[in-house]
Amino acid sequence: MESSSIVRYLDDLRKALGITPGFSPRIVLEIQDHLISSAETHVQNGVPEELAIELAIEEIGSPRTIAEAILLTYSDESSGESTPIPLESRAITRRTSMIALNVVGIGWSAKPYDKMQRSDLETNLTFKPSPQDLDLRVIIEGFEGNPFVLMSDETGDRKLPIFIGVAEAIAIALSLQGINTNRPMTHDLIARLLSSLDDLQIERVVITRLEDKTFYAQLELEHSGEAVTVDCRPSDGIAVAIRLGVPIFAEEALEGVFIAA
Amino acid sequence: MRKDPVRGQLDLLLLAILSDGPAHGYAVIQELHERSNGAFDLHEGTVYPALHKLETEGLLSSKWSTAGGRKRRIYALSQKGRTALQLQAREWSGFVSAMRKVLEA
Repeated sequence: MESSSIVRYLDDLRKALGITPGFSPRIVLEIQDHLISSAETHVQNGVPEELAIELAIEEIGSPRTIAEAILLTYSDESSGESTPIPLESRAITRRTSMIALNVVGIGWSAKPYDKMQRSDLETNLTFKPSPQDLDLRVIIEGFEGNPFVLMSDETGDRKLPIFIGVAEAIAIALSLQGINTNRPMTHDLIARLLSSLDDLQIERVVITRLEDKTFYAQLELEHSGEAVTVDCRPSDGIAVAIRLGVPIFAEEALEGVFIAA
Repeated sequence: MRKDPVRGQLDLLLLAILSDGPAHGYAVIQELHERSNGAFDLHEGTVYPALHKLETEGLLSSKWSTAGGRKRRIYALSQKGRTALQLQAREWSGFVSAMRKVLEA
């Protein structure tokens, strides 16, 4: 049982969650399964199909209610906007389970974020981790719209696209394809800084949360045996991580925003 | 019954229902309706964020299965969840019996 009312409801839910139309992360799939199961139950109890769907939608509550609750669940409640979190406790608490990420490539979406379809993920994937001739003009002039970095979990089943800036897209694409520029670019400099200090070690980059349509990340460092975390944009973190061969993770709590296979 | 008292105890109710065995969200909600004779009137959709939260806290685990060609997330109580359930159920019983003593005095 699939109805236009259910489709519309799920679209509203995606909008309230701030995710791209057509994407179906876990919460969307669960709500879809729920609505169909619930409507089917009503039909079995003798309710006409049209009404059954309406009832199911009414009983589940508004998309906004669900979205607010789910975003609250996955936002990092322990971190205030500007207050630094005690590093020690953070380092310990975040050793739970995280999702290891591979960078699949840099893609380009000519459509605005909210018009992007799931299929755009693969078809617009331009720069993959393989050496080939890279013409920077292709990145700067050859595409319309916005670049995104596409990541996947270890199995490749779950995907996580994050829209990023053009400069960061170039930085990631260069590194993915093993291209060295004559002079160190900004992310090369950051990577060199991190690797040139003896008592400083970069452990990993972690995508920590999604808040108000913005992904947050942090560099996790060890300085003279002490854990240090540095707030960063995911794109900067990824650009640095792939230069240094440092693993990239997403908090397990972000699982709900991944796109399932 | 008003919604707020239910919301405050939703975690406990979900843990209690899942202590009978793994289930998906809709089955949990149906069971909740059934056991409470429909007394707990809640926005069904909010059960899913609550399930996600319990999982991030390590009280539940979950995995995909398929039903009727649709993906379906199945939740199961973890050992930690079982312990939390026993603890919270005991607290709740204590609260209820204390309330009753006061109200019926």
